[in-house]
Amino acid sequence: MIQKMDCMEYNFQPVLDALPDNLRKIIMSVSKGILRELEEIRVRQGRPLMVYSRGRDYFLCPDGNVTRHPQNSYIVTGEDTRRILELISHYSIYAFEEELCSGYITLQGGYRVGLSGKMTSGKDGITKFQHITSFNFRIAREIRNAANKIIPYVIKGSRIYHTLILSPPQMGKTTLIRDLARQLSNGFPGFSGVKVGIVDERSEIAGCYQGIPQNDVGVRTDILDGCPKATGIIMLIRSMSPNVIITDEIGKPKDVMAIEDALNAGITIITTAHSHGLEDARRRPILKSLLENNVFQRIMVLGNSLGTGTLEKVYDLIEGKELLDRPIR
Amino acid sequence: MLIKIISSVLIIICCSLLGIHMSYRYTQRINNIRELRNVLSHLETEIVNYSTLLVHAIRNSSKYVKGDWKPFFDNIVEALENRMEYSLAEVWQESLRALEHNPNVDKAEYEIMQRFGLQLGSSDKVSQEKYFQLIQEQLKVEENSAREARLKYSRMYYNLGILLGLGIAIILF
Repeated sequence: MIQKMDCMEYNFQPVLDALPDNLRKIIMSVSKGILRELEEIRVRQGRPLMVYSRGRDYFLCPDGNVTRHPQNSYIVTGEDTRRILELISHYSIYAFEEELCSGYITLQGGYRVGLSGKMTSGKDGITKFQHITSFNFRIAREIRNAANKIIPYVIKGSRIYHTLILSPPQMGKTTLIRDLARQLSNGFPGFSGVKVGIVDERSEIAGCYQGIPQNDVGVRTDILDGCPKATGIIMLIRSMSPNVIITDEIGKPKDVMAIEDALNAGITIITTAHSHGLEDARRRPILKSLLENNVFQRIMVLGNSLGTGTLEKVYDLIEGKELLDRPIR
Repeated sequence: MLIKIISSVLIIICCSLLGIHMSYRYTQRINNIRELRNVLSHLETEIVNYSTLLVHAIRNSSKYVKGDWKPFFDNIVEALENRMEYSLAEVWQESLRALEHNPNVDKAEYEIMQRFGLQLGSSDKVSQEKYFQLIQEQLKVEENSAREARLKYSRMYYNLGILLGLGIAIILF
């Protein structure tokens, strides 16, 4: 019980529950400074136990101290990985077959565990995931009001613009659209909330656990969890009558078609894509067609010139001008 | 004389009851195997068709067992719900140990279940289905051999009990 109280402070109890006793004890003994900003716990069979925090990684000793030398660190055993798999699947690997094949499992609280190991592929993609030997526990943090800086560019009066957020990986675009979903859905002074639909293909935005969002995505929000984007967008249009559809990382031709359907149905689309900027996006076939057809009214570019999640540029594609004279964070 | 008659009757009754008890074990073993097969087939449905989490699957299925195996399944459910720090194999073996010296559970069933505990829940549906088929076949063999044993020994113990009682009574006279 005392242990539980302790880690409530850091608020990642579900992750600790998914670790076997010995690993949990090691993590709990790590210094508070590292735990407070913990981003990842890396467990790789036969290799050192590591955590990633404050922008770098640390090897962990059996007593929880950090070390620079891998040979002094705790080496993860086969029994450890077997136990983790048992714990994250609640002793029921058969019930998580599909999740395992997609390469991750979502824990209670919306924490994601990435998996790797030996895969067997068949006609319809990956059919079996055997010998799972690496786990990446990601401690996702909800950052409330992360979207404040972009809201003035997304909303004008009661109008919401079709928005595309371009960003390299790890620049906080998911955090951004999660908070945007919450604010659009709940409303804020000067803006009354609207119905929001989220297609959360990789369970990253809402972090659903058994269909219930574990992150606050707002009171007027419906989530299609684990659903392919193109199918999900069409399902939402047909049945949930959203005003805004939010989805992450578009990249397939089918996604573009679904987005066009949504536009024709008068629904606002807010989405993201991996890219380093507008010029870079124009070189990609899928994004190029969306940009050329002026599907989106606002393009935002994230970067790290002033730190992770800096809003580098905002383009108004209707007027064809830039709205931001310098990066803001 | 009267005392002799009364005590002889008592001896005969006691020995007969002992014989009946010994022969009843064979019937009880068959009932236990049958119930176990029934529970496992429910468990298989829960796992293979509905992907129910193991704890819930065992809890739902254990409703169908009343005999000597009931405490075994109840123990597992309780242990898995409360003590996540143990592996399923550990919990399974620990609960099974309570049945090790149970006269109504033969060593053969005990060992079959011991092996099954290492496989349950630890693989995909297709493999789980195969393990269930395997254990059903193994238990069927045991059920048949239990039936044969009942035919052979049940009657024998029953008669032996009465004869022993009569024998002692005759010696007393």
